[in-house]
Amino acid sequence: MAAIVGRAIPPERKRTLDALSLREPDKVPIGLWGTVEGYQNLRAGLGMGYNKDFKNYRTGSTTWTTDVAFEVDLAEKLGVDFVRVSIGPAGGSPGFRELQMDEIPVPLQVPTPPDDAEINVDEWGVIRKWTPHENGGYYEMIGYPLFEATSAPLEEGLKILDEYPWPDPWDEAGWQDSPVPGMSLREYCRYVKEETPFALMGQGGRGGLFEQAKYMVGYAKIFSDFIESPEFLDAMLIKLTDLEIEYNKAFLDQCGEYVDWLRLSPEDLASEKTAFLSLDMFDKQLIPHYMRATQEIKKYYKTKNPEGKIQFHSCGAIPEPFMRGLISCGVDGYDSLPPKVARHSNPSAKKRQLGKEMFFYGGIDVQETLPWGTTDDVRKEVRQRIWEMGHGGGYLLSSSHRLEHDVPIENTLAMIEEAREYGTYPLPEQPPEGADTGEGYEPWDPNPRKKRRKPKPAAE
Amino acid sequence: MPLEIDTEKEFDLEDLQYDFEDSMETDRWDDAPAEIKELFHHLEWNIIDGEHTETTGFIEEALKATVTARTLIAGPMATGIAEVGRRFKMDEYFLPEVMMSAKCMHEALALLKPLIIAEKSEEVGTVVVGTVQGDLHDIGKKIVAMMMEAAGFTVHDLGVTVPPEKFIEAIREHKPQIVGFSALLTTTMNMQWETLKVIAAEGLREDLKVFVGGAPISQAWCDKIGADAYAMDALVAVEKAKACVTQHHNMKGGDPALHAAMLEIDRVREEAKSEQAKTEAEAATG
Repeated sequence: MAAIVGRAIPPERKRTLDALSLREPDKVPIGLWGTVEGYQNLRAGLGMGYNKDFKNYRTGSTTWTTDVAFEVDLAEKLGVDFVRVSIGPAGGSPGFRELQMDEIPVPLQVPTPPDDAEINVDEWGVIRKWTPHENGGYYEMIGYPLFEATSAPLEEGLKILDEYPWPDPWDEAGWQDSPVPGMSLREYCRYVKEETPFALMGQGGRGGLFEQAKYMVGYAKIFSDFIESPEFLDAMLIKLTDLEIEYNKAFLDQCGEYVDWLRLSPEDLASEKTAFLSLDMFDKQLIPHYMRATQEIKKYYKTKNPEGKIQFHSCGAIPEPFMRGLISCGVDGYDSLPPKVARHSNPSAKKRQLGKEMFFYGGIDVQETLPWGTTDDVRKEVRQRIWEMGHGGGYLLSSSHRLEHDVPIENTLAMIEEAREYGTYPLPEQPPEGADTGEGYEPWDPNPRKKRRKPKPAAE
Repeated sequence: MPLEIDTEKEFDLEDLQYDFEDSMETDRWDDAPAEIKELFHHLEWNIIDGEHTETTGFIEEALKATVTARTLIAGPMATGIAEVGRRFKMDEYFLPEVMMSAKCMHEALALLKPLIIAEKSEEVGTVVVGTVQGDLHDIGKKIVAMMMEAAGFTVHDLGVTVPPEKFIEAIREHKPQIVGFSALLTTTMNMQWETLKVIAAEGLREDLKVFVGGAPISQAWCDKIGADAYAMDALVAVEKAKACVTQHHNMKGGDPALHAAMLEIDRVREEAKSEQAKTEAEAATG
C-alpha cells in the first residue's frame, strides 16, 4: 500500500473520526472483532491464509480472552473502516503459564479437575482450566486468588492485598509483537496510522476494575462483598484502578499518538434484564474508581492525542442513570450495545437518551441474528440499527460482541454490504420495518417501590 | 436454528406487585400461637434483609419452641426467599442483596438438614436430584431435596453442575424411582433434555419417573422434552413424587397416562385454590 502521509485524511478514518465526534459522516463506519475461531473461520472462508495454532494468536488484552483484532489485510478484504489493537502478545501474555496440579496455590471452587486437565494461571493469579470444545476452547476460571482474603479480618485482608504479587504494567513483553509479524506494537500502530486508511482503536488495560475484582474473588463472592466487605473491596478497587491507569499509560507511551480512540478494560455491569447493582451502590462504591481511572487516563491520553476519545464496554442492559454516571466520569462512548436486552436499555433507548452526549459502538446481534439468522434477517437488523443509531452521527457499526465460529461468513458479508448501502448519509427519515421508534417506551425505574400498586383488600 | 423455547416464563404480575409489607398486618401464620407467629415474621424478615449472621439464632429459637424443620422450610423460609425473588424481579433488589439472602438460606438449611432426616416418618421411596451440568444454582434444588427427605424419601443430592454420566452412575447405584433435574438458566435448561436423552440411551428411562424444575422451566418445557412431571415449587414436587411412588408406581416412566396423572394434581390444586379464593372473596364482601 502506498504511503498516504501528508495526503488528505482517508475516507475510512475520516468517517470513523466523524462518528466518534458525533458528526454525521459520509457513511456509517464499520469494524469487526472476533474470537480466534470466528476469525479463523472468516479468513478461511475468504480464501486467506491463517495461523492454525489456536493458542498462537495475539489476543485482546490477555491470553485468556481468546479474542483477536482483525488485521489490516482482513480489514482491506472486507472493506471496513477501523481496526483494533491491544496488548496481548501471541503465545501468552506475560505471567500467563501452565501449572501442575500440585502447584495450584489456592483452593479451587469446582470439583478437582482430572489429572490430565490443562491448568493455567493468568498474570493476575486467577486459575484457569483450558476447556476445549469442538471448534477451539476457552479458559474457564476455577480458582480465585483473593477468595479467602475478602472474608479475613480487615487488617489481614489489607495486608494480603498489599503483599499480593500484582502484574507489572510496564512489562515490555506486552509491546514486543503485533498483528504483523516482526513489528512491535509501536511500529504496527504507526504503520496503521501512516500507511493504511484505517482508524485505530486501542486497548491498553489487561484487567479492569470491577471486572478484575470479580475474577480476583469469584462471582459467588464479589456481590456479597459489596455489603459484607466494603472496605476490602474499596482497597482492592483502588489497587486495580492504579494498575488500569498504569497499564494505559504504558500503552499510550508506546502508541498514544497513533491511536484514534481508547477502549478502557471491559467492565460488565449488567445482566440482560438490568444492572448487577443498585444505582445507589454503583454511585457510592464504583463510580469514584471509574472517575479516577477515566480522568487520569484521559488526561494522559490528551498529551499524546488531543482529539482522543474514551470508550467504555459493558455487556447487558445498563439503565440510563448508570450511563450518566459514566459520562460524568469522562467516558465518551459505549460498546457493545447488545440489542436483545430489556427495552429500557436497548440501543434505541440509549440513543434517544444519551445520543447527544456519547457515541455508540456495536449493535448487531451475535446471540441469534448473526449466528442463526438468514442473510435477510441480518440485513433487516442492520437497517433497523442504523436507522435507530445513525442519525446525527455517533454510531460505529459492529457485531454486538465477538464474532464466533458459528457465524456463517455470508452473514458477516451481508452485514457489511447492507451497512454500506443503507448506512450512506443522509439516512432515511422513515423507519425501516421493525425499527424501535420509541413508541410506548417506559424508562427504567430506579425507585420501583415508590409506586404503590395493589390497594390493600378492604377490611371485613 | 436450535430449539425454539419460551424463555420468558409467564408470571403473575398481580402477585409480583402485591405489596409484601401489607401482608405483615394480615394473619399469615393464622393457626400459630402469637410468639411463634412473631418468630416466623422475624425469620422471614431476616431472610429478606439478608442478615445471615443472625439466621441460625432464629432457627434455634424456633426449634426450641418445638416448630418442626419442615414447617420452617415450607413456612417463613419459603415466603421470605419468595419475597426476595419478587424484589429481584421488580428491580428492587440486585445481586448483592440476593446473595446475602442466599447466605441466610444456606445457613438455615445446613442447620435443618439433620433434623429433616430425623423427622422422616416412613420410607416411601428413593430420589436422585441434581442441578444439571453447567448450572451452579443450589438453593431451590436443596429445598426440594429436603422437603422430599422430610416426606419420607431417601434423597441422593448430587449437587450442582452434574454431568449426565454422574446421573447415570447414581441411578445405577441407588436405583431411585424418581430423578429430578434442576436448571435455573435459559442457557442450561437444555441440559435437562440432554441428560434425559442420555438416560434413555442407557436404557434407564422406563424404570424412572423424571421430574424437572427451576425458574425458566414450565409445563410446556416438561412436555416438550418428554419428562414426566414439572413442579412449580417444592411442595408440588413432593406431592407429585408421593403420587408417583404410591398411586402410580406401576406406570412406566415416559407413559402419557402418568404424565396426565401429574397434570391432574395441578388441576386439583388449582381448583382448590380458586375455590378458596372464592370463599375468601365472599367472606370479604359478605
